[in-house]
Amino acid sequence: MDITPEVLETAAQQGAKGASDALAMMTSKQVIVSTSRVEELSLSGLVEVINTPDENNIVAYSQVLTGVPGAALLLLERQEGLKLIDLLTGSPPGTTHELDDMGQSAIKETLNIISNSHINALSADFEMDMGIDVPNLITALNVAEAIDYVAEESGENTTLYVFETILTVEEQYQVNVGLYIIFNPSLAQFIKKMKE
Amino acid sequence: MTKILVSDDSAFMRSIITNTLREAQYTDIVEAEDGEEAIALYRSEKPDIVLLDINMPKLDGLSVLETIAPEGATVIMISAIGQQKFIDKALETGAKDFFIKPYAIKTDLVSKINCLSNEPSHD
Repeated sequence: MDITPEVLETAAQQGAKGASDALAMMTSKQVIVSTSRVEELSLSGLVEVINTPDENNIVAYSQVLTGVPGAALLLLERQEGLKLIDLLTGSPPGTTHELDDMGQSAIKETLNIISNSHINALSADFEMDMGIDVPNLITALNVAEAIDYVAEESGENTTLYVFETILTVEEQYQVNVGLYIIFNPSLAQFIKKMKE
Repeated sequence: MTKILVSDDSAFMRSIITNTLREAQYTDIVEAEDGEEAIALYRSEKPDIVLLDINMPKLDGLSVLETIAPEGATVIMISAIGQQKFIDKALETGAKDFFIKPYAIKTDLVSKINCLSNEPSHD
């Protein structure tokens, strides 16, 4: 199947629905897809979309290993991350104040599950094998470094396909989760180097 | 007593799974956080059932399955990877079932373990 904007959009919608269903099942709460889109962006456009958060925020990442090179990022403001941990662990809102090992693991697993919903949809639509690596956590500073690296390797004028899904968990938790799957060989290379 | 090996790099997932298993009276549980540890624990602990994630450090779950299935392991795959190729490969290699994360642990997984276990129902 040819990679066209229409096919990418279909995969984005399928992936977003899968991610929403997955997060709903993980949390036993209603989850709304606030944003679901795929765009071809410049690097400066990407910076605007992911709105590079400050160093206290939480970024989980995973390299797309096979199929189309790229990376999956889960971006959370710190307070959103702590609320997500409360939600995932079944704790009352406001219980978690620190990002301990179990909390980090919960966030990484969230990335793993909801990014795979997109990867599974893309794989089915494009009839190609796709897979992502074991998730890790980084700081926002690394995101800025990643963008600089892509600019150096691919040029300032390079464009990237970006899948953006914003999921909102309703009820008392009110958590917003931003998932970005970005296809670019230089970004995949940066993620690989960072892991090494 | 059915002994179960839970192999998943995610401490969070291992915690959810082991807590659910204990609630279902499966209390003899060992845990592995990567593929190499899963093989080592399978050989040393001889669990009756192995729950195996695919995406793990050091050695992926399908490679672990290829190693321990010929040794007689009873394996249930648990993964967020839902691509048919991986499911087919796992089942052809000898996995008894394949659950795509997230799934209903309390119902689907425990029911499957009950079926595979030699013990009476743990409902």
